[in-house]
Amino acid sequence: MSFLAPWMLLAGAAAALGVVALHLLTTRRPPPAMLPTARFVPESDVRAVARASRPTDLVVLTLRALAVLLIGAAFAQPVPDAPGPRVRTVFALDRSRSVADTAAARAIVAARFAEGDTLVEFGSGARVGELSPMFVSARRAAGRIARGADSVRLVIVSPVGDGAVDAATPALRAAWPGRNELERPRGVADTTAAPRPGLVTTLEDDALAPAIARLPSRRGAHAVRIVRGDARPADSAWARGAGHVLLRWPVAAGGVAGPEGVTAFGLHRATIVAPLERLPIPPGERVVARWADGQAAATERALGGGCVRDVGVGVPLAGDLTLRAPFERFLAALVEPCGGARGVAIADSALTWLTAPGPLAAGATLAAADADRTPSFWLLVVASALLIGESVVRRRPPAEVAE
Amino acid sequence: MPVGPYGALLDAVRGVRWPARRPVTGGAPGAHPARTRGAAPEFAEYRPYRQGDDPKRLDWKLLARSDRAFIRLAPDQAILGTSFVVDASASMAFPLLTAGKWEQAKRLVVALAAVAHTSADPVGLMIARPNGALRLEPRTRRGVVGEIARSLDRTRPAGTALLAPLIAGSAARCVVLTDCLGDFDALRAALARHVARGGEAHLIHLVARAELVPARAAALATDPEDPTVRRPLVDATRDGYRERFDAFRHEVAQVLRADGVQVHEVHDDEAPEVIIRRLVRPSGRDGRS
Repeated sequence: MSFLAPWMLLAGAAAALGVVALHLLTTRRPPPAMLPTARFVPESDVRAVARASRPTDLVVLTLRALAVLLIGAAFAQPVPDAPGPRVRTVFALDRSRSVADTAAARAIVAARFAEGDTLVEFGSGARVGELSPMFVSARRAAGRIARGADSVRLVIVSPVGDGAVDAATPALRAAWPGRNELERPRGVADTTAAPRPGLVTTLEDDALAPAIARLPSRRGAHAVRIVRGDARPADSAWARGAGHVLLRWPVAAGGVAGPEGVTAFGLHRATIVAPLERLPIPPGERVVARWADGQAAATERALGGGCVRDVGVGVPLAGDLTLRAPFERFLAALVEPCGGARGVAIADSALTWLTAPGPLAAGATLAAADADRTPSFWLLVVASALLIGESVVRRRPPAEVAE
Repeated sequence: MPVGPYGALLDAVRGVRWPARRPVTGGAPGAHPARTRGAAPEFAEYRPYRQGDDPKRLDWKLLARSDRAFIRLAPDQAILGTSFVVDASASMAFPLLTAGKWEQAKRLVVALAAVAHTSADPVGLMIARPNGALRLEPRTRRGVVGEIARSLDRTRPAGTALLAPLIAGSAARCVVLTDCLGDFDALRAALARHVARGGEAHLIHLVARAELVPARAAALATDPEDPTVRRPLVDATRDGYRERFDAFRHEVAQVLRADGVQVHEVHDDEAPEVIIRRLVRPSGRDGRS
């Protein structure tokens, strides 16, 4: 058993001695004694402070002293000494779909796992393992193994795909009181690269054309065709090809009611707010985009080796909406491969802040931050019970005083 | 004379005389200088003969030489009746274990009565008790001192007693033994009237050592004559108590001496024969013994 704040033990002992001293200096009524000249004694409260050679009310004194000692012990934060190495490790294993070889990732953990270490899994079933909840879970797990340990090491086993870092991640990383180690297993293949989509349109000056022209064209495993209006049989036949994505995106009819918000759920979320027109779309197997009220704005259904996406977002023919960056991101999300794109691993150079050098996290710091301090809690419970008992004993009617 | 436990004390004060503080009113021949002039052999002065004087007291030789009729005067001596007024209230039975103040009062009364009786003075006793005063009229007969001793021994201090009403019935020399914790204001007025009538008044202020220096232990001091007076005598109040009690004793002596009363403060642990010699010693003009 060790204490995180041992000086509180001394404070508790001093307070208990103070309680005993107060019992010796307690205010009491002195015994009566005949004195004919009592009238010359200055008038004062008949109860006077008197020193006693032995404390009275031993039961009350015992309850009070014990309660004070227990409170001091509770604030001293006792921590049971756990057996094991002095340096312990929290392994944070990415279980998301962004990990290409989960067995390899587990092997990394198994190779280094030792007695007293703990494993935290994060991002289970998600496209990418987000680091922010990982840090929260790791901090909590570290509090449990930090008791009795000198230092705690955090080893993150994750490919750290694009989307794993959000706005809260740097702050949570800074809250971890030590350095991290990052083991990056192989991530899934990059599926975001694709040739520039082909546009099939009857309009002379289609508003989508400039936006499509701004999309990067890279060698990829899938091809995209955007059809404005009804798809021809040839388009449907093309869509059956492996990795082919056919977007059926009708032209707006001109019935714009007002500004609308729509969000596409691609590798990156992309939202645009503009005077858009809601166009009817058939139900699909997967919703690719939604209006602000939750209605589906774009759906996807498989067709042969490819898929068909119906987009019900009427883009105004006039204006510069399609020239803006939000629309470019919105369009990029719509042209992702069937079933959604797989993430792109973040470069090591962009993660230097995550593995900044420094000492390991101190075990005492992490144990103190742990909210689950069972010994302190129960000590406070017992102290409270003693104080309640003291109150009951103190309120008992006093014994008759013989004069 | 059956005086019981007072024998040793009476032996110790044998031969002590207690002269009057000033010439007494004429009366039966006694040991105290009287205001009157008599026909004793000792010459004092001449006075012109007045009609009605006894011709035997004429100085015939002077009449023959100067043809003037003068009467020879000589100092006269008379007795001085002495009454002892003793306070038998509950406060006199302090300290509780020894009743020191009461015992000291008894010894002083018996010893002073014996001293006065030796001078052929009539001595009497009045004990102020809650159930009525005990009165022994001043007498010169043998055995009166023993009678006083027995009366005192039969008395147990208790309750509250008034001293002032007894002063009016006192003899010319009135000796009050009290702790001044009762009807002091009325007593003072009565003694002042007694002195104004030409009497001689003594007040023996009895103080217990335990009253001067109370025990160190904290206690709730309770007045035996007034249980409602209960005050904590602790370290914080001890000095205040001493100051106030000292001031009270000083005031008692001061005001009574201003009224012409002889004031003597005695303590319960003093030797009575020493006190007796101090009491009978002629005092200064301020009444201090």
